[in-house]
Amino acid sequence: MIIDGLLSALSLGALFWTLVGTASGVIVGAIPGLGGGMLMALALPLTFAMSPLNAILLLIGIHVGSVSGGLISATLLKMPGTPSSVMTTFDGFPMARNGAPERALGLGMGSSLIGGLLAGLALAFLAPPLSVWALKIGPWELAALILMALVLVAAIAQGSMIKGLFSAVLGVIAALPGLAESDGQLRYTFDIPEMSAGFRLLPVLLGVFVISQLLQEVERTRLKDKAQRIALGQSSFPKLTEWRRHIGNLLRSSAIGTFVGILPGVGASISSMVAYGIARTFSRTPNKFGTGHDEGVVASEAANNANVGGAMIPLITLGIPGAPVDAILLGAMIMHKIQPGPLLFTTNGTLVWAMIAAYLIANVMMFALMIGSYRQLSKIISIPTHYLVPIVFVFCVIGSFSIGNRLFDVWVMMGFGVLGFVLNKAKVPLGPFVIGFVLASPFEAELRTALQLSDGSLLAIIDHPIALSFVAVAVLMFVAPLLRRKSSLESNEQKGEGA
Amino acid sequence: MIRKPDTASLIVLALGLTVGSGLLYGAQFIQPPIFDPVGSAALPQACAVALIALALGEFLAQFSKQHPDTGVSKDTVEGFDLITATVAILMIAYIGLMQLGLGFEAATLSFVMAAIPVIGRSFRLLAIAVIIAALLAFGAAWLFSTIFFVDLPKI
Repeated sequence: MIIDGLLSALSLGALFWTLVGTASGVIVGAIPGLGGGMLMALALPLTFAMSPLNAILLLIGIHVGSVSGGLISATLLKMPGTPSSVMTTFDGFPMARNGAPERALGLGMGSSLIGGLLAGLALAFLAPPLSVWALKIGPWELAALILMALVLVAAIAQGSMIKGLFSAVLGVIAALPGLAESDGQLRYTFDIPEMSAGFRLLPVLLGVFVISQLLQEVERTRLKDKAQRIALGQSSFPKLTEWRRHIGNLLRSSAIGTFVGILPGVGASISSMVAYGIARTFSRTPNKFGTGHDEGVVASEAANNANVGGAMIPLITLGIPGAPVDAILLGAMIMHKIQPGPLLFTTNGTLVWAMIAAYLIANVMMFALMIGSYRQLSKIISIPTHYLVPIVFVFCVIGSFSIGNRLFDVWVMMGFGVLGFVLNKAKVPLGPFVIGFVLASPFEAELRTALQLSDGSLLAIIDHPIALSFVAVAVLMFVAPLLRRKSSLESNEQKGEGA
Repeated sequence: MIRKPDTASLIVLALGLTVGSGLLYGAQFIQPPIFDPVGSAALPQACAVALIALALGEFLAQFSKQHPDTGVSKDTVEGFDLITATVAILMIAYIGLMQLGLGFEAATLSFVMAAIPVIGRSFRLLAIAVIIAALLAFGAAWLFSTIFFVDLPKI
């Protein structure tokens, strides 16, 4: 099965689509404001005519490419192409401004490659045993795991945890209309025939991810016009021997990125922040961080690329997306009749191994593409928003329309786009919304099955220690920030009284 | 000092109360469970209660985020940009035109020609906008209908 998977990933068609995905991912990732999630959502309708393997490999390529492409604009414009490159701006941009842009890009590209490859190895070694373990868990455990994932996503999302949870619940609610899977009841269809199937995944994703982002970009246009690009040709890439002193940082940051990626809901931006912070703690020269230090770029880029591989572990083995972008990958798999989860290794082992191999190949392709075309990419990042927004919107309309040949889906996309824009204005994170939307249906199905088995008693969870531990983690994640906030308020009051 | 609720929390509260109460109202019309103990109304009801509670929680929590002297919250929402609102209206109009029976090509041509100068805040972009609009409208229509076999809205 492993050999078959490798051969599938190495076939000419598969390599072609992985290359197309990686190249387009790198380009889109490099353009500030356009992310991998946006491109993946846009590419989804185009994959309908493709084989499931090629479709998934294209999307994996986009995912890997976009995370890496962000480092170009982060380094040359001080504008992270993707949120995961935020930490790269701290040292990449000062290094470039100090006359070493090639060095900053070289460090970033090399670290991205190593982080990605190490996470790919972790994926290959951890996914099979985890899927065997996952086979032993039942509906209680799965429902509790999804609940934990939702709380975790909300708790770690940027801004307030309450808003994160609000967003996750709103996402679950958006998935409610239509036919309830468990008993075939129609809910919230408002007598609109198109609503009987509920809101389709693609229009919702395009709306929340792309349309809201486009509207934000229009608002940011003035800011973006002020950005100045740093000219290339001032320095050279770091020499191979120089990498020796970064081995520890690379291994540690890749491990952090992979581990953080495995945790449901924690995106690549968090992993690069954690890796950056730890690299600074372990560094002999922590005061150089933020001024154009090699170690900062290495930590950030190794971790954010490793996160992609780490996040694929729960996606493949449990069917739980690690981050919103993985939710799109999950949606694509479901659309192509591939059900991620514990049985995937048994039912579609060749595809899983092909995915793992393609992930590794995509990382190598990403490195080669970026090394070979970073000069051209540095020009692409300056495409004005006034051309990008209308063009991307037209493709969104085509994408939404094409899934069912009906304008209803286009209206749904627009509606969710406006909702996403308003939520963003209210500083409500959108990641939990998408994960809530994707996980609502399996959560309800598993919970109802579990309750059927226990005659409707929630207390039956006591007989399921694994499920109980997942719920305990969820409760802890919810309560801990509240307690921390309460104690900080109390200490502030005491300080006030003391003064 | 009088503490004012910030706009972000008001949006969350309004959305939470509207969606939550709507869900609770709609749950009454869902058939009671037949063969499972929970039924299809349980999750919507639970979500509605959670949403309302979270919206209220956020509304009350904002006061602790406010600056003690100025009463200004860090979650204050910036005003809506006129250009963004115009672009959103153009997007809606574009879909509306197709809904009214205008074909993909004509609607796309109109939308792109209008949107580029508006977003770029310059009517000098109109010439380039016409070229891009024509390429996109006729090129995309040809590409999707001939290569990808995707039907686009027709007149």
